[in-house]
Amino acid sequence: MPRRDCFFLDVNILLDMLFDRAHELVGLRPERGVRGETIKKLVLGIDKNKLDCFASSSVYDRLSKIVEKVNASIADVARKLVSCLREQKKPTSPGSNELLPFSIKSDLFLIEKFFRDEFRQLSSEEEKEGLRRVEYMLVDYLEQQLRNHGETVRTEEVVSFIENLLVEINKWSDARNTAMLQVQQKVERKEIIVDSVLQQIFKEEFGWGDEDSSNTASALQYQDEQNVWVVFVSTDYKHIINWQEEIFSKLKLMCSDPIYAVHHLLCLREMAEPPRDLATRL
Amino acid sequence: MAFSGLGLIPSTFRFGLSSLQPVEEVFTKRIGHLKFIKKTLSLRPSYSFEDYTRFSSLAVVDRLDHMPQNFEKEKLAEVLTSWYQKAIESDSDLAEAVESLGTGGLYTDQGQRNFHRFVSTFSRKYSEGLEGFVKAEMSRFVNSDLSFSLFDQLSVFHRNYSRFMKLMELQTASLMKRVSMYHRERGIKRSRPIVEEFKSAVRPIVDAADLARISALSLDLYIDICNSRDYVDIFNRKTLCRDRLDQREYERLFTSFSKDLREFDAVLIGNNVELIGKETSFKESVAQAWYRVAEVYLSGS
Repeated sequence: MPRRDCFFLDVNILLDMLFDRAHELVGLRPERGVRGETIKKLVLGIDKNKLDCFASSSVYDRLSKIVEKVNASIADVARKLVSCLREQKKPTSPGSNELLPFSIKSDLFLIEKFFRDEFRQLSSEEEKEGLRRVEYMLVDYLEQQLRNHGETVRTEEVVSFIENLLVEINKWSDARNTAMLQVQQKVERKEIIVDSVLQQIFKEEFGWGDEDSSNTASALQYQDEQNVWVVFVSTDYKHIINWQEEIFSKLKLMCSDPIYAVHHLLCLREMAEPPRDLATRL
Repeated sequence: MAFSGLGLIPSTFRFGLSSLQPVEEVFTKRIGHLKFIKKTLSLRPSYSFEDYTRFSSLAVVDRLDHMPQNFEKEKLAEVLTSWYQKAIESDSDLAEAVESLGTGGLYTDQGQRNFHRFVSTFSRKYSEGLEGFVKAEMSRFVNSDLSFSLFDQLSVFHRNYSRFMKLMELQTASLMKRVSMYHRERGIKRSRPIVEEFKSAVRPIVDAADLARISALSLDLYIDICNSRDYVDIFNRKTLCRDRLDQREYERLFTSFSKDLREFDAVLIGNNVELIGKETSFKESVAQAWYRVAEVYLSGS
């Protein structure tokens, strides 16, 4: 029986597959330039060569966390913004429940100030960049909604627009959930309890954090246990692909960008069995 | 969740699918510090919509392990049942569809037509109200301190439920065609197996829908009662606070709901992926903006 050499996919590849699959589901073709084309090429290569494709449980768990974090970061900011608008526009006349009107000309600056205050509370660059992108999303959406209104609009209506954006996020969640089930049929989840010694080696040798070390260690562990070649596919150059030669030379795990992944796997297939001396190499 | 009489459809769908079945009813009553549990087993035919409404409420309430002090399961099930019945009665189309369903079952032409009409009416109503249900969930999120994923998943459930009803509508239409063809060619006896075949084909879908619905409702009901002063306050608009919940019970119910929702989704995909595609939509600009935020958290990993 021929060896079932295979791919282990990194979280960035799964996210791209998920994004593309959700679009295919509704008959859309996302405009994603080279990155999208690269993933398409990888999927075609997998299908054409009938290659097995897996992702470790740590990768799938990481993907779920990212999805939840992105949703929460958008929704929590939207909720805070609603509360800020209600506070700023609270009725001044006694007995009235109606918020003061929102001036399209000047009250957009309330939103600007809201975001400035939010930025001040953040320290990490990642959080700041995340918030910057959420700000762009929210303001862009509100601008579109307010385009055909006069000089003022009821603040309750602005709140309703913000809730509508959350409805749109939910539509996207809905498509993504279905796409996730379809991706899981194509990329089987492998429950792997990572060897802590092996994970530590990745951390020490390459200065990686828990996630990258756990994902790559899972792939190497599978290669060793199943006696098959594994190519770990990722688009993360900073942490993984730039270390390709060192990782292969020290640990015999091939890491590749999706462009070359199929070539690497076919090339490894020509070689002898993967070395089974992981324990002595550690 | 925007509580709605429409939420009864899988239980009622079962009305046409099953006949006599064993039913275990569990009632819990608190007297002072003592808790009495009474279990009764009975065999009963599924005679009426009211019966199903009651069973459905009992199933929802029975999922709750932790009850806030002011509430009892038995009374809660009664409140839920009467709320459902009022919701149906207040909508003349739904009330008429339920009325015409009668007890004919699926073995007569008239019974099948009534059943199809019933399913179509519920399906249309749910589909018409869908965006309103989801918008109501988003308003509840904005006016609470609970996580977005709760309201997001409850809304995804509504979307799946709407697809489920469309699927059942298609299935019953196709059943009617097939039975009528067999009936013309081979008589009533030969058309019976077609009905049986139909029942076994849709049963896994109805089961998955039922489980997800019961999980969704019990989670939602739990959050609602923890934030309600008394029985009268249930289902009224209110601000939902996380501090009022027992965190372990909330996590348990949410985990169970998420699992049942995933299974419901998987069953639907397995049965008609084209329909799912047709019934799914999103704004490309929102998906792109979402992806750009995701990229930030990816690169930080």
